Amino acid sequence: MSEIDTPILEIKKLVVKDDTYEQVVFGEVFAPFRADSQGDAMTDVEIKKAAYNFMKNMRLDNIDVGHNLQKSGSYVVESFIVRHDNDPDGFIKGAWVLGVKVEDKDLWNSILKGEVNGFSLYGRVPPDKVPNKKTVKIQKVTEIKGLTEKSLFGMLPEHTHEFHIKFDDFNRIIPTETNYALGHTHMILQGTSTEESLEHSHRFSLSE
Amino acid sequence: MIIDKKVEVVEAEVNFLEDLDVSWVSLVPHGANRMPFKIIKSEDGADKEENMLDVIYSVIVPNGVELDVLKEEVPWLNGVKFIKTENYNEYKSYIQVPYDRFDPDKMNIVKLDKGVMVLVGKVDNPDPEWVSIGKDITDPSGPSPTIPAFKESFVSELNNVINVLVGAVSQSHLPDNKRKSIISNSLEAFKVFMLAGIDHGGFATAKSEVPELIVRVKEKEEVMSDVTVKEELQEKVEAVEKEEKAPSPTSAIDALISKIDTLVEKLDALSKPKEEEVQKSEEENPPVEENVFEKFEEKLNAMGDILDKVVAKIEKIEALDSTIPEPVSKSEDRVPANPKQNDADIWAGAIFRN
Repeated sequence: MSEIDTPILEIKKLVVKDDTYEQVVFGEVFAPFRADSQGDAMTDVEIKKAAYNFMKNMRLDNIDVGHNLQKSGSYVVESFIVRHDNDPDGFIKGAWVLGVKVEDKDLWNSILKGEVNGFSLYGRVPPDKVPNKKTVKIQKVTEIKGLTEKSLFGMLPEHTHEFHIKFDDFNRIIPTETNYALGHTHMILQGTSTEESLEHSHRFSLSE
Repeated sequence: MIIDKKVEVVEAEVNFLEDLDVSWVSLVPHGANRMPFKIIKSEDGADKEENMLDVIYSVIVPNGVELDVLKEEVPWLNGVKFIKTENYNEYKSYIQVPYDRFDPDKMNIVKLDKGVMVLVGKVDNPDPEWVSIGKDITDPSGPSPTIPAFKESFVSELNNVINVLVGAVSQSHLPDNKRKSIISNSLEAFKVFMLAGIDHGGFATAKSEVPELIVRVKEKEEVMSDVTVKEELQEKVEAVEKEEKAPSPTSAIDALISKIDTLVEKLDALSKPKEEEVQKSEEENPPVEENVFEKFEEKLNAMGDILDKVVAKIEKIEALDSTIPEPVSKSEDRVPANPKQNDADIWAGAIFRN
């Protein structure tokens, strides 16, 4: 036996086995009456229209990475509009949700690491359409305290971090840091996932 | 998960999109709606496997260690009922569960508290008396345990060994016999880990991933270097190390000189041909002869340029060498910085800057 003690919790290292996952991600493409980071919003009626149109035109494999407009090999396996409040998965009523199968191993690993972590749509509004700008009262979030999700990658045991995020006047995250857990922290510069530290990052949600 | 949030009601100008024709959906680092993906797990095989228990197949005890002594230090071992013992050259395997209850390709070797090594595997409908990880051996304060694959354990163990070796070599206060004992024990434990892994599943799948494992170990080395470059002295040592890892200037010069000598000899031979050969050659293909000389001349010039660069590099290294102070090793936790160290010393320096 070694005289140097081995860490007792050796067995707790998280291992991501490929066959553990179906390699399917679910996410909201757009949720109603919520301005995104670019100040755009959609009504529930418009979202449903856009979702149905996407399916009608069979754009099931028009899934690219980082808006490169190149098919990634991923494809839509589920598409639905959230029907009720208090959805068990936390989706917002009226939101368009896609389930996308990610076949590419490297891309899937990027998702597990939190490097790829959300959907973003690319589309066109008819040129004759006049922008429908409205001044509305919105609930502006100024601060959020929360817990990240567990890391899905890396050599450390499963763990989470607490975060306390503040937003500036333009609804941008003011860069901050998570608390310490297992002797490390993560920077938070943008929404939905922390920066990488010790070979892993954490997803987090800024929506309930 | 959101614990608390502060909101204020404000007026804002929002652009409501209408008749939007979505042609692409993109996978991006941060979705505009700030909601992360939800990742689902498999509903059949994987989940079923997750619900299966990680049952201990056997406890690996290195030769020279008595199971009874081990039981005194590791209480849970007393609850294991062994059905037989297998003797290997370097260790004994105390078996709890028949081998045919496991899928050999999915068995893993895991190191538990006090360095006790066990072979584990998933078993469906296990005997309630069998000791398993998670059910019988767990840390109540931590998250639920996950068994690492052999390759994960391999990387971890290899890194542990490297750290222990470096620590033992670099701790100046350690007496030599203690140092030797630490090194010997660490290598012995790693040897048994590897042999047991090879003797029992796990390794079969891991060996096909050796290149990846090597990258992982190397990556750790690079991370350590990144973290530790703090002091000017260390930077200088690192610069020298890099130079030393490059092809040796001396050997490069020797090789160049040798090539130049060969070229000169060939040139001499070509420049003193027999008269009849010259005549014959000129008759057959005079321009080629000229080209050969020109090419040799070009090559010689090129060689000369390379030689100049190499000499300049040596001078640079010599200059750097003279700026590095003598080792300041009064502190016990610092490796003496010696730019002329061998490979093992370079390792020690890299790790210890952590």
